[in-house]
Amino acid sequence: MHSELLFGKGVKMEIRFKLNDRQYTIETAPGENAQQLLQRLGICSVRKSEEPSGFTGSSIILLNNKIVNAELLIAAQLDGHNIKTVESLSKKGGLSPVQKALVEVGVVQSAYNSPAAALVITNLLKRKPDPSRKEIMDALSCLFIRDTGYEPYFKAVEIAKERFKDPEYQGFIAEEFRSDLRIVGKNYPKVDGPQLVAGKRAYVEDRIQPGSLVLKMMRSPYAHAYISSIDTSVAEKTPGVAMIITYKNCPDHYFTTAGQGYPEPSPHDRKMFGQKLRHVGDRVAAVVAESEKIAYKAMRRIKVEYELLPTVLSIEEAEAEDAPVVHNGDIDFLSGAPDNLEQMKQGFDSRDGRIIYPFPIGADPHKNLASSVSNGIGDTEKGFAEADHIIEREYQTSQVHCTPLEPHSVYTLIDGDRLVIHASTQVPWHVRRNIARILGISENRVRVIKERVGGGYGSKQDILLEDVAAFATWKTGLPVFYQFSREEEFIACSSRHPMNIRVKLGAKKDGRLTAIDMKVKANTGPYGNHCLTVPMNACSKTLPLLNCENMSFDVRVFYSNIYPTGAYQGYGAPQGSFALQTALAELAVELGIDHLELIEKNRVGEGSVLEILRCLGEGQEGAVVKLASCGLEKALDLGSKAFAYGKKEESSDPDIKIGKGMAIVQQGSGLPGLDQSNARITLVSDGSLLVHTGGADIGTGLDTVCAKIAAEILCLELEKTSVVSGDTDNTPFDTGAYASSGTYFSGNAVKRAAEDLKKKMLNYAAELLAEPESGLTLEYPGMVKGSKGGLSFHEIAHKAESGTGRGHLVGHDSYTTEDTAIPYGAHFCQVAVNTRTGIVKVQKYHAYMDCGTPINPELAEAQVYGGVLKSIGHTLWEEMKMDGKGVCLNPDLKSYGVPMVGDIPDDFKVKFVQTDDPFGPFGGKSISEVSTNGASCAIATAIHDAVGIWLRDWPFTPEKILTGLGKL
Amino acid sequence: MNKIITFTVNGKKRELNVDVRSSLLDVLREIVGMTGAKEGCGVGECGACSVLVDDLLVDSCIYMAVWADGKSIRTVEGECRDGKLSSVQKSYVEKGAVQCGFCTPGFVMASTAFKERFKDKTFTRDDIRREHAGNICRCTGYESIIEAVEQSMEED
Repeated sequence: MHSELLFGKGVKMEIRFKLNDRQYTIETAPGENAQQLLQRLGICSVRKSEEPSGFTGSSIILLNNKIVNAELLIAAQLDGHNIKTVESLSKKGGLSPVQKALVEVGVVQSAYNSPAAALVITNLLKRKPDPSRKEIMDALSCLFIRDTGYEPYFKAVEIAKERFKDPEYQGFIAEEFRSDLRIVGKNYPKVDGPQLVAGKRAYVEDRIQPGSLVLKMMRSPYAHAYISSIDTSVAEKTPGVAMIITYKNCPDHYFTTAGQGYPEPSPHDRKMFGQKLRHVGDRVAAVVAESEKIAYKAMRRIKVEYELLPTVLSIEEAEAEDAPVVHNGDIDFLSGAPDNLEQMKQGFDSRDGRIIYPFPIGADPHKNLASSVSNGIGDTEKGFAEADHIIEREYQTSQVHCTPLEPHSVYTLIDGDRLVIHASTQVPWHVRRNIARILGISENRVRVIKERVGGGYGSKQDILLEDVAAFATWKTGLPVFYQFSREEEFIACSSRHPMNIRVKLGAKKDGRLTAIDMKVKANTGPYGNHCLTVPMNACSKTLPLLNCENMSFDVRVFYSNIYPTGAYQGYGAPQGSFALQTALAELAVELGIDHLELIEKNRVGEGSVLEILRCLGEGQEGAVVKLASCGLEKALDLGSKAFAYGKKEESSDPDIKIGKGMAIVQQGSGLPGLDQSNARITLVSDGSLLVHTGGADIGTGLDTVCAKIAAEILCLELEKTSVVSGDTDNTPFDTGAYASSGTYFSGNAVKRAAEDLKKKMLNYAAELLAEPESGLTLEYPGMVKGSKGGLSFHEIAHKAESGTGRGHLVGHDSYTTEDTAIPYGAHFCQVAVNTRTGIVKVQKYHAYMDCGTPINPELAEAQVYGGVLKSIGHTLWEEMKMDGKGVCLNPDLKSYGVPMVGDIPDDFKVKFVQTDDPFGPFGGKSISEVSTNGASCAIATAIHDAVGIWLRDWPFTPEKILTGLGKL
Repeated sequence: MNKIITFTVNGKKRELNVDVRSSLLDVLREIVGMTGAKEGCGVGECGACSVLVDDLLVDSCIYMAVWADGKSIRTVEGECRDGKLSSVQKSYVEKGAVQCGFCTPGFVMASTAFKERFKDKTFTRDDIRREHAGNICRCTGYESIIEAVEQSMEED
């Protein structure tokens, strides 16, 4: 942003400082902080993740060789000082030993804070060349990292430390797999790692051109209200205001923010702006202006009158007989309209707008019922009758947030007669489809470019700001930037659906299950994005872990006026897993049998037939699966041995009680029958490769997966394989990065495209060599070998593109499937419960994971650490606190309670148990989401083991522990 | 040394803190964010940077930004109103006078100045040639540009 936008008239001062060894003289004014000034100088690595608080560390710089948060410095405080940013580390374009080590160990994932981490560790090693774990922890305590669970950073410090002494030092990175393969299963630096750790331009916010407009959203102060009048006339006259958008001038198009395959299972229950406001923070008006300051000034001039309505916050309130109705609008179905539609929509209020269902999802919106489904296999009534013992338990989960470091961002502009959307998204194609529909234009006129994404975790599967920015650009013709504030990340973003889950288990004396019944009630909040699929997943990613002939489930989802919910890594499975797995542990205690033995008696394994999947399709019939790969046996064996599971541990402190717990987990690998990925690989003129994939790498390493698979099949060096991804103009269609689909779907599409290119290359080489195709093979690096001679890829490409050639060689294929590849895991933990304070300390946590062949072992490992720590966070600390009127009391990272480096278990370990899945690319299955499903059940079980109480609602606070112990 | 200057760009008032050494072109492109005017030569020979300052055609690359203080600037971005091209722009498209397009913003401003100056006056093709002599086009051979100017003179 330029000075004219930052400074009004008034005092200005000239300051001089040294930045990365270059002398600067520049003007600043009151109100500008050092982070903003550095951004103005083009240093984009110093970022803002939260309104200046110093909590995240995204704006860390070195001021006279001391670590400080630039966002907490007044710009003028730089005067006369020596400033260094991450740019000072990577001189001459190469990476420093610390940066290299960070990339190698796999912590440069969504990477928003990677430049800051590189600075912090470099500074630490300068001060203490041989730091202890405690000293490393102290140094990292200034950083919030969401995706890699902090643990791999210790390894990075270790490697960097040795590299300073010996630049050739290698060090152990992560266990490697599949000795029969050259690239897949081996540790190679993530393809976009160097760019990200060096703080180069990469994210949406780095694309903003001078002269762009900014968009700021006026949000509802009330949880449930109608806008009775809104007057923007005075605000519109504010100099510098380009446009104000409200329900009166926005497109009359209903949509869902959920980025899902079409037809979406989520109801189209919102417009860009509505007259009805359904949560605190719901959209009232968007102000598009030349600067943030002008936008806020104009916002204060918008006059709004509200008609307040009684609020509905809990599931109990929502399902009450005379509950206020959150969606009291007209109702339509695109297909499968029920016979009682007229009755269903009776008495609708046009101010509530409409709900359009692409297909029926068991909803009755005027009764606040957003969706419902029930089904099962066998006969649970019979199963319970046969049981020797029945238990019934109720579990409650809370509303927790993804909190990506990079807030949701979008930058829209016009290029020629087309709209270009630079998006921080998991779903570029769904963004294109939705925006085209909202604007009423054809999709060829919209280009979505997925930039590097600074963390998504599900929240960027929703299209939360692209619609309004795109509309503003389409109307004004001008570029528009819109980025959520940290508060908006809490109040206007997707989060985990709070659920109330009743589990009923019937078992024989020996622990064999005779019947399982799960009753899920979920709170979808103000809108129905993901309202069928997330709560269903509470059952579909938990019931298939168990062999039981009689299973039933019932899912009912309610609208309310809490903050919006949606997708979050795990997608309902963490909630369902907490309930079902904890209930199993409770059953084991009641039956007096060993927990592990009960799991062993009932769990699935290789060859099991997952009958229950028949009734767990997302809005369609599912397919019964015969399990092709399952690493549970080995995972349980390793974990139980490492923990001496069942053996009681004692603390020397009489107040501390130690307990152990465990859980088995699963997820899926994409959505068979629903998802689709495509890939195209071109042989470049010199014999190198360009992989075009629609997959959206959101920091997870999907681009690296794609590059590795292509290089492996085509026998070429990884350095000669580049990936272009997630750009709707330049890459083929992909449903997107959700449902853990990346490795399985996008990876398989690349595998097929590579095989297609291989076939074409061999066929052409046969002609050139005048040899039969069957006698030709690819040989590393980049050769086709025959019995008489050979050709390099360069020669083949050159000949193909010559005046007598066959034409540019391109491999292309798509991937759809009915085959299922399920990742598994067993999580073990040991906790210490302080019976005086109620504080639970996770001493030890091991995740034994089966993701088939880990294609990027180091990245997969770091991701599991991240997933586990997020789930320890929502189990123990994270909580969105609301008052009785639906106002969030803690919309900032610190008071919300995200885990920092000091919160990680003392003994934190991830280990892969490799299986070879017949359907996954090179046996690879998904990872990441599955790792969030174990913590709450393992910790709940461990707490019970320690002090004999069951905690059945998140988070397990000291108050709840002490209450359970009868001390409060 | 910096100086605060005020001018209007396409009708909008802007207050800017500019380095006194910068050209109007640099300020328009880098601070205001209007990249329509192009730098083709940087020495006032090619006309790709043409803008109107108080309705007078100037090469913004050799026009100091501080000279624009208090004046009114028009650039090619301002010629397109409510998403509709001006008659000059429309004629350029219709007559095929836009090829690589790099000189077009400057030409459009030159033609706009011509149109406003010769409104209600008689003119010849030579007048058009003379009045566009400060603009270089390497693609079209100028014929289609002259036709575009002629067509735009017939409209409104």
